[in-house]
This record gives sequence, structure tokens and C-alpha cells, in this order.
Amino acid sequence: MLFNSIDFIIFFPIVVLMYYIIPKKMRYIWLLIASYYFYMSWNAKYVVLILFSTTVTYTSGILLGKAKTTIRKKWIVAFSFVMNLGVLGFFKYFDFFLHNLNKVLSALHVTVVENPFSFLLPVGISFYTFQALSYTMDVYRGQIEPEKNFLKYALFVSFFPQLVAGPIERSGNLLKQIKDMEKKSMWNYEGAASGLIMMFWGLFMKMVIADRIAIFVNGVFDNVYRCGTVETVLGAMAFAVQIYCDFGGYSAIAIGAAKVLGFDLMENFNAPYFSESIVEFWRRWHISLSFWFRDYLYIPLGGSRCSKAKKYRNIAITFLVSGLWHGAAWTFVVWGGIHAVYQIIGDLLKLVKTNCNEILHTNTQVFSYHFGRVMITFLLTCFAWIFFRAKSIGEAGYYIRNMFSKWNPWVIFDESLFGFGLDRREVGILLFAILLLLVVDIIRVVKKETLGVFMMRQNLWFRYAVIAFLVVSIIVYGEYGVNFDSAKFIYFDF
Amino acid sequence: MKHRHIARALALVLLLAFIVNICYNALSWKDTTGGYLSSYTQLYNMEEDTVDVLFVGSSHVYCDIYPCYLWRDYGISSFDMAVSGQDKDSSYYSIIETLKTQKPKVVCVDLYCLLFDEQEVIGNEYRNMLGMKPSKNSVDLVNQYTKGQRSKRKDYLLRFPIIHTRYQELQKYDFETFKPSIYGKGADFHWEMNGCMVNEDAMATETVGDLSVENREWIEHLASLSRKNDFKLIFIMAPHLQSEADQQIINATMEYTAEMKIPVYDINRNRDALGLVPESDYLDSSHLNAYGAEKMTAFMYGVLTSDTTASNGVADEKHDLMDHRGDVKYDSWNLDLEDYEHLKAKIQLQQVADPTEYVQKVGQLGDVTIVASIEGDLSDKDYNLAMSLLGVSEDTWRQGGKWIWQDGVIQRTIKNDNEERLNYNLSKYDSIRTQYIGDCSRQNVMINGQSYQNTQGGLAITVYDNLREEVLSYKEF
Repeated sequence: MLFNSIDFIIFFPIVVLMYYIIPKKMRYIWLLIASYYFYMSWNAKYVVLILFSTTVTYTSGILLGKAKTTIRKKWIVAFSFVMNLGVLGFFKYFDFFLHNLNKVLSALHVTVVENPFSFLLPVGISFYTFQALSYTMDVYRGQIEPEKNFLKYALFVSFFPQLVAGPIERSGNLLKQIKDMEKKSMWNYEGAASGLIMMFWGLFMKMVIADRIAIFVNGVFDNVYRCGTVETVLGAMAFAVQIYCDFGGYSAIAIGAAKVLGFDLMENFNAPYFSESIVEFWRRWHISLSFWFRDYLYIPLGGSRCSKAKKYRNIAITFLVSGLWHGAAWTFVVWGGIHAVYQIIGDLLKLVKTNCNEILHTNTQVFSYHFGRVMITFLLTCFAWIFFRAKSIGEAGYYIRNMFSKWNPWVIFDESLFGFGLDRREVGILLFAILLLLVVDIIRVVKKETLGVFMMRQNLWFRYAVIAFLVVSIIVYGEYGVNFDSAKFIYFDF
Repeated sequence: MKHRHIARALALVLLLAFIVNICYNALSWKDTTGGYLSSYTQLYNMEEDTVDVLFVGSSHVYCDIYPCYLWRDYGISSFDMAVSGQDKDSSYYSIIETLKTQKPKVVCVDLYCLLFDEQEVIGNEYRNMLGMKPSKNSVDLVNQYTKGQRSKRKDYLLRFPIIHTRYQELQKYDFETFKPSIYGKGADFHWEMNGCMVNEDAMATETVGDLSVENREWIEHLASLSRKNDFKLIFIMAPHLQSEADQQIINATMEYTAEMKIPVYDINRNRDALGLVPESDYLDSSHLNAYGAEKMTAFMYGVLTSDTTASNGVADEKHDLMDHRGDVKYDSWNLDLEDYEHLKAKIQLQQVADPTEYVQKVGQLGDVTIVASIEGDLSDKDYNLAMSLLGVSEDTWRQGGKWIWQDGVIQRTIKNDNEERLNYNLSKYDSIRTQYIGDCSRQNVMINGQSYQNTQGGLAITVYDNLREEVLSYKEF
């Protein structure tokens, strides 16, 4: 069930209505039923996997609570990780492993291994596995008490707004709210209204911007052979916008939906393209995953409180694993690798940059300096996105070759850019929508508050006008329905 | 506080409903390739309980039977509830939709829909599924038509998944109802003569084929509907190009309906009895033009008003139908007839080369505005007779100028030496601007940005149709 589907439009109001009607004690059970129904609407069989992950981590939590020795605790954590990552690895990476193994075998002229399995990637498996594992780690570290109520814990793992694409919640936040559900008030108008605005904004990002710009992106990436510098640069930048609006839109809907139900999920995006460095980018982009890797991989590896070489190794490992988490393909690994390289080079050049600024008497407090840094960071991320979007390393290489070898500025003027799926009218709608996105992100950076919170401080008429505008835009200009092959949210594949 | 929050939430819901409704009205499916004509819109705009005879079917009905003929010649109020490619389900539910506001005495249903199960043209599917206003009946239609097709059913029920991209093609008539869709009676008037082909083997087939369960059920449901709503049910088979297999189905239907005592008129196989001439009475092999429709409609009048024996041998008693001419409640039938006359004149006026004859013909039409413009060298011109019919003397027209004539009198005159602009509203949205900025300038007579000026000099006449609110004819002499 996609957030931008008719099914969800029917499902969500029923869930909300029932949630506020039934007795408080029953609410978590209702949400659990709703969450499992939500998940099973994709593939009922795969409910076994989420149930398995839930059971393993729940049991691990209970055992950790009872374990007396550190060594025993470590064994329990190891068991939880092996079981969960084993399932994740099997369903997500087995094909990838076999494909690469067969490549090696065929290079050695050895008979290739037939794939005995054929299955679809279970939706959201990377997300709920990581969320469940974070619980095991948090219990192990003593940051939270083990949850004794299995159903409440199961709701924590399967809470439908963030089940299939995050934000990857922490037990300290979401599980605590689930445990405290009975203390919540019946109805929080401010929260619900704010959540609703977030949901509409998320749908706007996804259906009006992401799915529209995807047409252009697909047009470019499917026709790289006839693209020069201008098209490839625009294509990469367009994909940067697409993936932001796709995933950011999903997160906004998830956070908004949870808010309507009275839950506060952690922020997942914070105007990422306003970052002035790659380090900052990862503090603003997919925040829940970045923090997960920081807390459960980077820091355990030693983090930055070690030698430079070890620090760079830790960065490299974290980003390569992060890349692999995004998809079972070398393109994702390269994408992660590029971000690692950016960070390492950025760190190495820190002193050089400072010296240059001093020599050139650069004023680092003015807008132009910050703007320049934002632009450079954006372009660097755009370059890395090429690998994320390309189907293979070879395709990405060809794309980049065309980018630097076919300088064709005339296409800006001869209207051939309209030949990539979006006509003049559609481009107009898209640019207007992106302008709005820019305004919202500027508000986010300047006011340091989410759109939902910002809107709730405005006058009622303005709020209603914005909601009306968003609804009309989604209904009329949203990419959905007949003749539209709606791209599901990109991150569902991860 | 709690009440205030509830009130705000309700206000928001109402606001959203209002907005969605506005969007829907503009984006709702309209027959853009059919010139915005819609039988459903016409049905919804019709006075309640005025239709005595209902014709139901596909384009075979709206091309072959003109209610305006029955009105003009006999004062019978009839309506074509006809939609392109109407299938069995759409046909059945369109009758139910009509019965919500009308109580026809006779319902004539074309059997063409027995010859296919599913639409082949997506446009026709849209016409049938989306033309009806959202209601329980439209939901029933969609549910019935899309059995087992969950995704399609959702699209048709919610409509927005299909119609929302219409923002790319919105026109005037998406916001303002096309006038003939208000007063029209379902027919689509055509005067083209394109001849027809006939499958003689199919026409001669006497083999009785199988009548599918779906076809039997459809006939039974209609018979049941007729009993429940007290109307006489008649089946017709309008002329069309068919295969032998099609004729076998019709033969089977003949037998089946004969058992049920429902008359069937196979007009397709009795074309000669109607006097249909292949060269002049056909729009194409499966549709009649206005001349053919006149014959077919007259035949239907005979069926309706006399005791006859139908093609399947069922005795069909005459029906008691009233002459409603002169009753103000039936004014829209007058407008429909007037519209027909206008469109017929439009065709005829194209052929006229003489200005006097042109003005005479235009003068016979009601509800038109005539704009005459005379410029240039007039020494060898003689518009005396034509202009006198418009009430302009020779002394006046020889000086040149522009005249706007409406309701039998000249409403506005502007001389060619007058540099002032004359702006005149022809209707709510159409306006004319006349001026003189030099002999035969294209800018001298403009209607909605389009030039209607004779750039060669001489007389130019523009006829504006006040009924349809569009230019009916333009001619230079």
C-alpha cells in the first residue's frame, strides 16, 4: 500500500478514526493490526520475516535483561545480529553475491552456479531490520529497559507510517511513546493539523515534483547516447531533486501520519541541499540512517577519536556499508565510496582551505561565501548521484564521459530539452513547484522549524489557503492514475 | 476549545470538499472529440417528465434517429439516450438514469450492443462510464462493467485518476456548458454523403446462432425494467455493416424475444422498405446522415403510431403519443429543432454564391446576428437587393460601412469614414469590434480576435448563431 494510493486514502482515515474511538488500552493493538495489514497488503507471505525479526530481537531484549555477564550479553547481541542480518543478507544480497561469484567463476572457466531461489525483495526489510537491531544494541548498552509486552514491541518494529522506508526510529523515542500511549490525550488538534499539513506537503513533493521530474530524469538516463554536457548535468541535478522529493516526501508523509496519531517521529531531512559540506550533508540527509551508522558502526569502529588513518578507514567502511545498504549493486558501493572520498579529501584539505582564505582575504561571513560552499556541495552530491541512478558502473562512466566531452550549449536555446518527456507547460509547473520547495527549505533553515510547526503558527486563513493549494496541486498536477506508471517511492527498494 | 477545534476541522473538510468539487466540474470527462456534445448532459438539463419516447443505443441511434424530426412533423417528444459504442451494461444503466427524471411511454433499444462484450475503443469506454453523474447508479454501472478488474473499477469510481490530466486541455466548454448540450435531444446532425457498403452474405444469413447467457440476461433485465416502470419495450436493429456471425446473433435474438413477446424491428435487413438510398442517405456504412435519418425517423413514427407486426412476428400495437407542440414545457424541443435548422443552413449557405439568395436564406433563420461589411471599390458591384433585405438603401451601402442586424432590425451602423471603434457583445463571451483603419484591412471586422473582413473589397457577411453562440457562416461577395 503506497502512501500515494487510493488504498491508503481509504485506509488511513479509518485507522485514525478507530484509533480515537476505541478505549486507550486497546489502541496499540489496533495500531498493530493496522500496521500488519498495511505490510501484508504488499506481500502477505513476507509477514513471516518481520515477525521473525520482531521475535528474535524481542527475545534478545528479554535475555539481555536477564544476562548477568558481559560475555553472555555479547553472545546474545551477536545472535540477534547474525539472525537479522542473515535474513537481510539472504533476501537482499544473495542474488548480488551469486552474480559476482558467477562472474569470477566464468572468468576462471568454471561452471556457473544456478540461482535456486526466486523471490522479490521484501519491502522495507532494511529499515525494520535496522530498527529492530538498534533496540538490541540499546538494551545491551543499558540505554533502555527490555520491553516485556510483545505486542507493544511488535508495534515498535512495524509501526506503519515508518515501516517500509523509515525514519529508522530508536527505541528511546518511538518505543517509549508506544509504552506511554495510554497517557496521551484523546485528541490533539494542533498535532493532527500539523501532521496533516506535513502529509499534504509530502504528497506534493512526491506526486507533483518527484514523479514529474522523474520523467525528465528517465528521458536523460535512458538516452544518454544523445546527451551532451547540458543534458547530463541537468539530468544529474534533476535526479538530485527527484530523490530528495521522493524520499523527503515519503518521510514527510510518514512523520505527518504519525503526528496525526499523536506520535513524534524523528526528523529525516533538514534542507539537505543547503549543506555547506559533505559532512553537513549527511547530518541533513536521511538523518535517521546517518545517526544509525554513526551510533552502531562508526563509533564502535573507533569513530574519529583515533589516528587519522584509522579515522579515514572508519569513514570508508561506514560509507561503503551505507552504500551497500542502499542496494545490492556495485553502483551503490561506488556511490558510498565517493562520499567517503569527499569526506576524507575535505578533511585533508581543511588546512589548505583555511590558508587559501587567509591569503586571498576571503570574507567567510558573507552570503556569497556560504552560497559558494552550498553550490559546491550540491554539485558534488549531484555527481555522486549519477552512480546511484545508473544501472551499472559502465553506464555511469559513459554518462560522465558525455558530461565532460560533449559541450552543447545550444540545446538550452533550441528547445530540444523539451524532447525528454516534459513539454513547456510541464516544465513550467515543475519549476514553480521547485520554487515552492526552495521556499519551504529556506523557512526550514532560517526559522529552524518544520513546515508543520511553522504553519501552525500562522493565521488560520493562511493555513487553509496553503492546504487548499496543496490539495488542488496534488489532485490536478499530481502524477498518478491512468496512463501514469507511478514510480513507487525509490527507497522502498532498500 | 474542543468545540472550536471540531468547528475548524469541519470547516477544513467543507473547504476541501468545495475545492474538489470545483476541480471536478472543470476536469470532469467531456466528449472533446465529439464537440462537447453529451446525451447525459442533455438529459440532466431537460425538463422532468417530458420525454414520451426514448431511443437508446450507440452512434447508430444518435446518427439515425433525430428527435427534432418527430417534433417538427408530429409534436412527439423523444430523446436519444445514445452514447458512442454503448455496451449492454451502459445501455441498461442509462435507461435507469433516464427513468430518474423521465417517464417514457416507449423505450426503443438498439441491439447493436449484443454483438460485443467489451469496448474496443477506450474513448467509448470513457464516454459510457464517465458521462453519467456520480450516483449509486453510476457506481452500479462501473461495478457491473469492471467485474474482476479491481484497478479499473477504482479508476472509474474515483474518476480523478482518469480525468485529472485534463488540465492540459481545458477549454471554454469545460467551464461553461456547451449550449447544444443544454437543449439538444441526443442526435448528432450530419449532412455528409459518403455512401455505404453492405455485406450481402450477412444480410442473407438465416442461420440462428447462439445467444450468450449475458445477452439473454440483458434482454430479461430490460423486460423486467419495462414491466416495473410501465413502459413499452421495443428493440431495433439499426442499419450497419455487420458480419454473418453478427446476423446469427440477431436471428437468435429474434427467436428469443418472440417468445417473450417483445417486438424487434430489423431495420438493417429492411433498408429498402425505408427507401434508403446508398449514395445519398449514408454518412458511412454504419451510420445514416440527416437525409437517411429523416427516413428512419419517419419509419419509427410509423412503428410508434400504428398497429404493426415486428420483424420477429410479434404484434405491436400502436402507442398513444401526444402532440406537445405549443406547450412551453417543451420549449427545448423547439430549440433543438432550431439548432438543426441552423446547422442545415450552415451547409446550404456554403453553396450560395448570390448575396441576395444568401441574405434571404439567412433571413429565414431565427436567433442570428448578421454583420455586413462593405469596403473598397464598389463601382461594378450591385448589392441592392441583398442590402435592401437588410433595410439598407443603395445610397447608404454605396458609401460603404458596417451594419449589425439582429431581430429584424439594424442594431448598429458604422460608416467607413468613422475612425471610432464599435464594440458590440454578441453573447456572454463573444464580441465583435468593427472599425475602419484603411480599406479592406483585416482588422476592420474582428470577432474574438478572428478577422471577418473581405480583404478583396466588396460585401462580406458574417452570420452569428445566437443559439450555439458561434459564427455560423461567413461569406464574401
